[in-house]
Amino acid sequence: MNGEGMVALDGETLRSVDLFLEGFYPRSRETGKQLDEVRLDKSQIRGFESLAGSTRRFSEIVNYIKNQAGKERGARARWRQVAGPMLGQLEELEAEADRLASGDAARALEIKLKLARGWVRQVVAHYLYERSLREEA
Amino acid sequence: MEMESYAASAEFRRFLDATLRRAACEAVDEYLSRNARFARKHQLASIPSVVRSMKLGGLRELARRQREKNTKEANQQREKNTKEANQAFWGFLGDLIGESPDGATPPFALSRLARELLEEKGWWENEASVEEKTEKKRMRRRNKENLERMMNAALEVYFEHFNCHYFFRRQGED
Repeated sequence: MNGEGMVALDGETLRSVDLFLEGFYPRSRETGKQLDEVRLDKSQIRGFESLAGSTRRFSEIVNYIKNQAGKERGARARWRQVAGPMLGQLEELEAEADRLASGDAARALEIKLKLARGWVRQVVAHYLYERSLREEA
Repeated sequence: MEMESYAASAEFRRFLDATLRRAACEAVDEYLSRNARFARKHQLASIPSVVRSMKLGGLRELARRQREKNTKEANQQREKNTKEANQAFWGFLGDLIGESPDGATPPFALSRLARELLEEKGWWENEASVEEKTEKKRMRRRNKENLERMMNAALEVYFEHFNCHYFFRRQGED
């Protein structure tokens, strides 16, 4: 245990997390592309990335997406177009974390966060790449 | 394990992260399926600050005041509909943090989840197990205090889930 009941994950689990994220990468890339297609501002994406990096709770990432989609008004529906698929992907990450944790609550929390942060990094990196391609064109 | 240290445990953090999220989402879905008219999103705006500053007592008071405020006579039909929708919303919210004496508290209510957790952890005393009136009364008071402590520990996160899911389900609407 270290700080607030958190656990350090063993090497085998960390490898499983990395392998899962490798397999998930094509879908993260697709999400990053969608974020650029709906023209989400870079500042909003950076805000999302920063929240994912600082939170200690997986559900805060879920709630951030719901909140962004819910507060958009009128025709400016950017998050609303991408929130459903993003939440679906987070659900899959959560299910994988539960599977890898085999019933251990502390490990499940850590794995979920690790998977979510890895996924956010993939999504944001591809969003920035698509954006730079579009701006160059 | 004492209740204080339990609040910092991974088990409790998982309860906040997953169990409460599922329950709060279910509560929103139930409210939306049960009503034809809904409270506008701005009705929920004061919940986080009241929860942070005044905890359970403050939220109960807010729900009570909002319910009463919306029972006053309305002249226009539209205003009447809004008041009825708000009244139903705050009544529903009150049920999530109250405890029905007949045991009919919905399974997604925070009060029910908190009580179930207390029972599971052995922190809920069985009042029926004692005959003596004074001891029964003490037991009831301890149970009430423990329930409020548990609910207060979970309140902010439960209503974060509730509000965000409400906003998400009501996206594109006021």
